[in-house]
Amino acid sequence: MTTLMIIDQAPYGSWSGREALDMALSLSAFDQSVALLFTGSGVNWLRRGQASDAIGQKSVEKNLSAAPLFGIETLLATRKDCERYSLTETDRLPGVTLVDTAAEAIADHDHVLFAG
Amino acid sequence: MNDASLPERNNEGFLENPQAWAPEVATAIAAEDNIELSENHWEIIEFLRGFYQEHGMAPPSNRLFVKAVRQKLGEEKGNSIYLMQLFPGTPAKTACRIAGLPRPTNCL
Amino acid sequence: MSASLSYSLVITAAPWASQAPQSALALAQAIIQGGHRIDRVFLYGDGVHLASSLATPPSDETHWPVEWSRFLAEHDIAGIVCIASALRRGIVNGTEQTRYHLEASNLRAPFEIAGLGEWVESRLQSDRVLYFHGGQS
Repeated sequence: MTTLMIIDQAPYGSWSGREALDMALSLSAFDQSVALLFTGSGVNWLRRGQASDAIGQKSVEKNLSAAPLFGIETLLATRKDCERYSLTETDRLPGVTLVDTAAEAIADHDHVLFAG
Repeated sequence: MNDASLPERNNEGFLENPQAWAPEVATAIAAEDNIELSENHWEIIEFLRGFYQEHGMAPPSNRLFVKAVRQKLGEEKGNSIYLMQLFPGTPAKTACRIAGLPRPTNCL
Repeated sequence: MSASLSYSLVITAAPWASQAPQSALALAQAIIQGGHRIDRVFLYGDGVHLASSLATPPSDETHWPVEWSRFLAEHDIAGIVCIASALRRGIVNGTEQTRYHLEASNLRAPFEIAGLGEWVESRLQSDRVLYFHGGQS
């Protein structure tokens, strides 16, 4: 049974992505297979060099980089949204797989959810 | 280092400010739990502090703490028995307290 | 007649900010009336506000925390509030009040505070897990 957590909101403006990451971590803690899909403005989670200190928030880039260490190995992003936000391969965190459509990623998983 | 010279802590003994940590602080906090820090302890403490620095968070649960140690230091050290022997109680909590990291929220 | 199913409900939006708690209650009542079972209701994110004992709407408005509490008690259903979401938003029970030296506690019975592990268990145990989110802004 595999779960896909969708993050479709840009970081920092909304807390729901962080809560999605916590859900993914908890699935992983119980050895459940889980992947993350970044889509829409959510792809901005993947941008390198985020300097969030100035707004008094923790860096989601740093938090997300812990995911593979906890067994969350699949990070997906929709190609057209990366293009829309000028997120080239060098701008992105390493280890992200691009998909052509969210539907393609959704079809590959048994459970699909949002945190809010 | 005696109690009076330790940095400010909360009622469960966690540092209020992770930046206030120093190795002597770790030794003093460990002593409260009757733990004498060996090289094996320091390896885990340094791992945790490095992890916090790099990822902006401590492992959020004991299971994930064990997983992360296994990922970094291998099966021999990344298992709950080994970590429980070094850091009795809930290893993640005890180790975070000694390493000067925030108290885990017990979310998981 | 179809076989009986077990459900868990996850609510992530706050009462009076979103219709989610209300929609979830309507469905929960229908589930029970339909002869099915609810294993657990899990409040996450802003949904934890549903468990506040301090919410005080005007007397001529529906009191969603009270309605939900009654429903959970009447049908003996576990109402679980995610601890990390709750602490951030100021929903605490006596234990957390003591632990964090807070001035008061405000968790409404029969809700209980626990971790995301309860949600993971729901996913493994319940036939259906349904999510009630607020509108995306």
